Amino acid sequence: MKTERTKEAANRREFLRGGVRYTMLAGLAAVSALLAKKRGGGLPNQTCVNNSICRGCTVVGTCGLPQALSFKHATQRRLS
Amino acid sequence: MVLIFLLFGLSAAFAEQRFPPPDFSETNHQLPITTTPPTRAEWLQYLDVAVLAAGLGLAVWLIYKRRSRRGIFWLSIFSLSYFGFYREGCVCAIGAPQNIALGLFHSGYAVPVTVIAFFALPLIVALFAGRAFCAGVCPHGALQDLLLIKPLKVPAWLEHGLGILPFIFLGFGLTFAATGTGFPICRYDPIVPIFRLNGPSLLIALAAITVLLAMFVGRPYCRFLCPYGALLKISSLASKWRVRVTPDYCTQCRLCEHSCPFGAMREPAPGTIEPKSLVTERRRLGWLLVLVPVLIAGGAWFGGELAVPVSKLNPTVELAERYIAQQASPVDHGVMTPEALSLERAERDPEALLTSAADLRRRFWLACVLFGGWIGLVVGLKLVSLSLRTRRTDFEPDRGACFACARCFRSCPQELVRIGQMPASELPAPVPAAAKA
Repeated sequence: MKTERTKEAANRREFLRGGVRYTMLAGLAAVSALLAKKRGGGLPNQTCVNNSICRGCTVVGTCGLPQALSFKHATQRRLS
Repeated sequence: MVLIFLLFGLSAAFAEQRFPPPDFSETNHQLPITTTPPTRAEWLQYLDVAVLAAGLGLAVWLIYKRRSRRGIFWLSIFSLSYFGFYREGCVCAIGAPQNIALGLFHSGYAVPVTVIAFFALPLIVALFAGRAFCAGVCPHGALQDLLLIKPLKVPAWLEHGLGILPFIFLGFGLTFAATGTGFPICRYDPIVPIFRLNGPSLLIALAAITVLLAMFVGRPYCRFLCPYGALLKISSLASKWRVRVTPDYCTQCRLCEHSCPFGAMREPAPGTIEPKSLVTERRRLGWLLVLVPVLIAGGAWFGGELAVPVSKLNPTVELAERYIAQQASPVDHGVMTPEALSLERAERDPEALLTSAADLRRRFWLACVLFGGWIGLVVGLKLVSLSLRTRRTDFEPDRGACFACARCFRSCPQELVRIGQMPASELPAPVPAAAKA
């Protein structure tokens, strides 16, 4: 009887744990998708995050600010 | 000690940082342009993600399938070399939550895909397999693990008290990142100066303290400060699989308890209490559950009160404050004040500056209210967790506190029998079920 009750409690705990796990997984996926979409969809109110230093900036690849565009143009020209 | 001495020798020389910079118009002196390293090629950034994913997969296989401490050791050496000394601690999962917070609250900031991957992958793995990232993939953990010479047991009261610091540091880091003020988790990381063999004096001093502590306390940064560890701890509590010391049954020999340098082993507990103290225990739990929302509300109120002074840590708000102060008491000596000069040099319109500062103050108020509420929640839940009783029949590692370092496996006689290093006849007799209950 005692073992049965212990098993039931364990199953209940596992069920709750599973619920929390998949909720957290869904939240994580939603945040990642939101940020990835924002990155791909272009940024209407884009502002510089690296004190106008494009060299070494982590977001220069997708940045649409005039300085970044000229930086990318200049580096591409230098490479070609 | 030699490493610490060398690190101090590499500290950047003191130099007076002035803003606005001195005016050299009379001598035509050109101030040197700040140079930064070139952007890392995109394919190399994806290579970092691939190495992370492979490392996580290998760690899970080594912990759950091979149960190999040696494998975890060599994996951590590789991670320390690659993510630590080769990539110099950047990009790393520990600082990634700040990028995510800035990306969510700042419309003009796009989080790089590699950073999203570094943030999400270890957490996804933790939801299924616990802290495999801490076991052998995190360079911070690997370095501390290698430095451990003589582990000392941290008293339980201190462990519980210091255990809430990572959650507070996480809230602090996210508050500053979400308001665009800075990334304090990266800025005050005490391990990165060791990877870069360089850094400001303050950080090198912190690195030296961490190195000294790590020799006698198992992974002090991971246990008592790492904000990403706090997220992994929460995820691990809901993990599908968990590390089990014994491959078969527990004889309760306590050898595993002594093998864990991180105090993560939990001893068997009946999970029941005497009927006499049941009423008292239930009443205490009830009061603590009532206390949780009170602590959250109190923390949120206190955070809101602190929002104005805290917002002055933001350079834009600070400049606006100084500009307002200067306007209130103008001193006309025929020369520009440093504030006016800095505004002119920064090409900032005073109106735009004040609008930006007002917007930042609003964001700071909200962030500080949330941060205060978060601290209240963390303290409240810690108190509740201390009064809960968990039933355990065997010696088990704590889901949240276990780094899955695999040290305890070889300490278990059952494991030694499994791998053929001990005859089964030498095993102690199993503890009867009645004695366990």
